[in-house]
Amino acid sequence: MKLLQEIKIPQESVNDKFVTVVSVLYNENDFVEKGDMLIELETSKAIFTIESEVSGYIKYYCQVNDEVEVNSTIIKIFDEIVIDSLEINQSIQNTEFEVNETIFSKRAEKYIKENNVNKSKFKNYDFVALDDVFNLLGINQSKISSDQIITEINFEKVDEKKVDVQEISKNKKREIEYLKAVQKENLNSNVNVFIDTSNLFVKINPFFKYLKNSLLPLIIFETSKLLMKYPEINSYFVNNQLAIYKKINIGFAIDMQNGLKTVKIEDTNTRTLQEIENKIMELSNKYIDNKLSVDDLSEITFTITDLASEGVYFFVPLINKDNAAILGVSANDEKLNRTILSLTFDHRVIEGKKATMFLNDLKKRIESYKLYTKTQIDTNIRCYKCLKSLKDDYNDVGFLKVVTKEGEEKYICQSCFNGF
Amino acid sequence: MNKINFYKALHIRLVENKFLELFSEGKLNGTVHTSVGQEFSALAFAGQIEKTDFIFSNHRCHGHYIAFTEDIKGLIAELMGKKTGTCGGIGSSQHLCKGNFFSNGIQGGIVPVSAGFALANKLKKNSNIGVVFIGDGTLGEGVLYETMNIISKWSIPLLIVCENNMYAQSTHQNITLAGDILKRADAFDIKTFKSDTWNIEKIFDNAKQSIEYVRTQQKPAFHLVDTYRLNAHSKGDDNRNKSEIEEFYKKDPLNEFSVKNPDIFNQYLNQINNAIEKIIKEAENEQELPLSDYKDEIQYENNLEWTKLDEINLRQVQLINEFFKEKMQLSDDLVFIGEDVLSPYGGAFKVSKDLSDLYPDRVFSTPISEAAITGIANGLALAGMKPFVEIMFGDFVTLAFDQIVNHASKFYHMYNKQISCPVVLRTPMGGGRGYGPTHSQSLEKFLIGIDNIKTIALNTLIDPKIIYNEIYNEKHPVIVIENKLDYGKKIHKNIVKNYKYEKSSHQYPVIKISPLKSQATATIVTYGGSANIVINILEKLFVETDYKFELFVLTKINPIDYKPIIDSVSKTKILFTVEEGSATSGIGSEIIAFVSENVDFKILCKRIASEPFPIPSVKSLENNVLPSEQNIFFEIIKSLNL
Ligand SMILES: Cc1ncc(C[n+]2csc(CCOP(=O)(O)OP(=O)(O)O)c2C)c(N)n1
Repeated sequence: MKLLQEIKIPQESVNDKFVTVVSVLYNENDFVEKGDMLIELETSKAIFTIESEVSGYIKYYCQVNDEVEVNSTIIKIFDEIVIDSLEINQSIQNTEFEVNETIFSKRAEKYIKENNVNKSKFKNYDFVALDDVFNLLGINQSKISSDQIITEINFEKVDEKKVDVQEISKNKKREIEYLKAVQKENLNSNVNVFIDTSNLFVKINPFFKYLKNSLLPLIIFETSKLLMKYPEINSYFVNNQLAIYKKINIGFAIDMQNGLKTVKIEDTNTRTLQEIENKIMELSNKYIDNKLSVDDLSEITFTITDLASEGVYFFVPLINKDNAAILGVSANDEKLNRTILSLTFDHRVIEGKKATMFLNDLKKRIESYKLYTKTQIDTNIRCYKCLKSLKDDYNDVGFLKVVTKEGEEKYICQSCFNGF
Repeated sequence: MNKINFYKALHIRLVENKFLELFSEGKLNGTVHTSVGQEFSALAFAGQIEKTDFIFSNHRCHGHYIAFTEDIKGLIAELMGKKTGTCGGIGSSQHLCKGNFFSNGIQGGIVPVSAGFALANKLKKNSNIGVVFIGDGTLGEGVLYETMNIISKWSIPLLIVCENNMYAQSTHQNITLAGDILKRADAFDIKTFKSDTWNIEKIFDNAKQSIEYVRTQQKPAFHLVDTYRLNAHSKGDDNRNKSEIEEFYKKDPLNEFSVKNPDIFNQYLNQINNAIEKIIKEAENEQELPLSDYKDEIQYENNLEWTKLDEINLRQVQLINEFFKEKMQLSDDLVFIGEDVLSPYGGAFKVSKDLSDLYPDRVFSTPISEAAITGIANGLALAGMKPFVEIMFGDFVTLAFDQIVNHASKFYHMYNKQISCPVVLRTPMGGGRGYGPTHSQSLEKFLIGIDNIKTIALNTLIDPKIIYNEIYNEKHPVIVIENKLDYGKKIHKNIVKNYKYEKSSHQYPVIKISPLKSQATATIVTYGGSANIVINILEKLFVETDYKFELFVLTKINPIDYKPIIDSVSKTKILFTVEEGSATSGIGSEIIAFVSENVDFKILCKRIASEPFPIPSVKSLENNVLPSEQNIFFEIIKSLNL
């Protein structure tokens, strides 16, 4: 039996230390031809395949879903069928209960760091828990209150009534590992688009009573709708998982005399433009009067910060706690007729592509208001049967337009149409 | 007609009438079903068949028993609950066993068992055949037809005798029986015979003919016998028309005989009654079986040694397949039965790959008939073979449940340990493949705590050949849970840093995965497919919780070897159990209950299991319902109050 080719995971093609086996394309001992695709592997960025450079009988050293280390052997091709027992000897021998690397618990690690304990003291330990540190230092453990220990553990409680917790994909985890090496825990990224505002404000100002020449209420309104389409942007990263909020509560930042506060518009996606404007006014007044309640400030699922009034033309906002993204609205550049939208997002939960798609969607939606030709709604329209006016109609469906027997176009209310 | 047959028929009748008398006097326990009026059927078949042949009978079996064994004393003592009874008083009226005679009170279930027994004769190439008695009411049982299909297809030498007395308990067959009885057998291409108990010359001749047909042709036959029971179904429960009974009473050959030959009849009567009285007197003075003779204590091994686990670089399924290839070569008694097990397909999970090419006579690919094939395996086992039956998906084991619970599990004890049933039932459980609610379940909880059945769960830490070699040597039934995802994994390849892997010296080793040096501070117990999932999070659990976990992977989940668990929990006082079935009444419940009963301190415990609703097929939901790494991790964190 002769070994014709040994295939290892190539290092040059990937950044990761590990790749996942997506599929093995032959059975053990199948005959493969030169140029045949043998295996599909997935890195954090792409799926790639490996081809055979020879013809012969194949033997795999991995299986589907295995995480295999770069440079390890995954396939061998032989000139004849391999009898398995010959292979057994080659398997890695289980080392005789030997500690190569000491593993520290987070608590132990934290204590060691804060108290400058010399880690090399634990050289022959298999596992070091906080107790082991105390034992080594001769500390009487009963002095440390259990509360103290519990607060030290950085494991966060998640309220599953409010969020859906989802796994982060293997690839995403691997990517986190990779990026973390450079950026520590902060894995935020930022994308920007500009909104063409020519002819926009004239179209949208009629919608609002107070907030003329402002994009904020419209952006809040449209973002809340879009978040339904992009739930992972309305989420946060916790305990290595993705917690997706069940509600959409957009917060907007106010920073006037009373310090920076982010206030909440609850169930934003259920509100009309006018309601959002009113809510912005109401919350701003509460802010000024220092009357914001805890509830106004909590359970915000996505944040928008509008620095238009500050005359800032571009900035990178920072994500708030328990959010996965924040949207920054800059001032309108009146010469260029454009406003920059800037989305900072947690790369651990949101793909760059997703963030871009989201932002472009938002841009399109906002710009679409330029095409809006307001058909003046005549609230004096009356039902031709009961003569009720549209103003007096509490049924929010509106009136129907009908053609009467006489061939005239008239309006009819729901009650008259459906019968009482 | 030879007078001796009247003597024998009267003997059966008087013994049964005596039973009714003793019952009414409160001297017998339980119930009794007499065959008064049907005696000549018993004599024609059970009386004429060879003693090397075999009989399976039902609840109405006294006549068959007496005709075949002539053991009046054993029967009377049995019903009187005496140690000297055929089955030591354990089985009583419906559960008799002597030599090649067996009865069981579950309608229909004995039919596949008798087919298995007959198949064993065929494999052993002797010319013995078997008779199985059923009543017409039992024509309602599905397993009968599963078996008729198989015995015809496989040419199994079994004679089915259907004693048609028109009633099942209180119900006339015109309420329950559709179509024609013989056409049912015809449809399976089984040769049919018909007789009745009023033309006794003819029934004796026909019975002989059908027996010879089965023996010489080595094919099954179906013999319909029209008859009538003159007594109630059991003791006093008779709501039939008096005049109908009266009519059959007059027509009854024994009654006719008594009218025609009163002198001879009375002479027989006295002679037999005296003999019966004598036997009853004798039996009355005999002892009952002491419980200690009957009950077997579960033996726990307490002097344990731990040795290092071996790594084998082969997949689990390949090792199981090798076990069968090797063992079938060494042992002629090993029979492999299951659906779709023939080469080149080799079973849904490829366990039987190549087996049917190597051993074509002992690998049986069956129709989709889980109940019948399990019953056939039971019969093979009773006849001294070593059958391994494969249930394609664990979910389908429910269809074999009667054979597991009322047959395999019971034979040894109800026949007072005269015979054992070393059947092995293998089946893959577990989700993770998106097969959905009925192909992903882990139903182990229904397969533990069944009398006299060991339940084994394979894992990928220990060579399945070691386990199957032990199972091969078992005297009693074994259920083996395999795991769909484990089949493709290599044995003991899942190695975690700073942990040692050891196996106990138990017959079915408990595997211990513990910190290399440290004393563990929390205990987890699991088995089967969940083992790998837990192993994968051991390190993370330590890092996040500060607890050092020790993991036990059971290979035997019934009865459980508790000693290592109790030893560990005595130190850690924290016990988690992880299983893929749902928690209620599961393996974890059992472990936590037993451990709690046997330690004198409070333990922090938690059963981690699947959500209690059907397993969805869609991947994301399936992951959430099953105990994934993440779910297990969170449950542990929550329980530790972190
Ligand atoms: C599986 C099962 N269902 C129900 C019963 C209860 N049972 C005992 S005997 C009997 C009637 C059986 O009728 P048949 O097969 O015609 O026999 P016969 O009593 O007429 O001899 C029934 C329903 C049982 N023993 N087993």
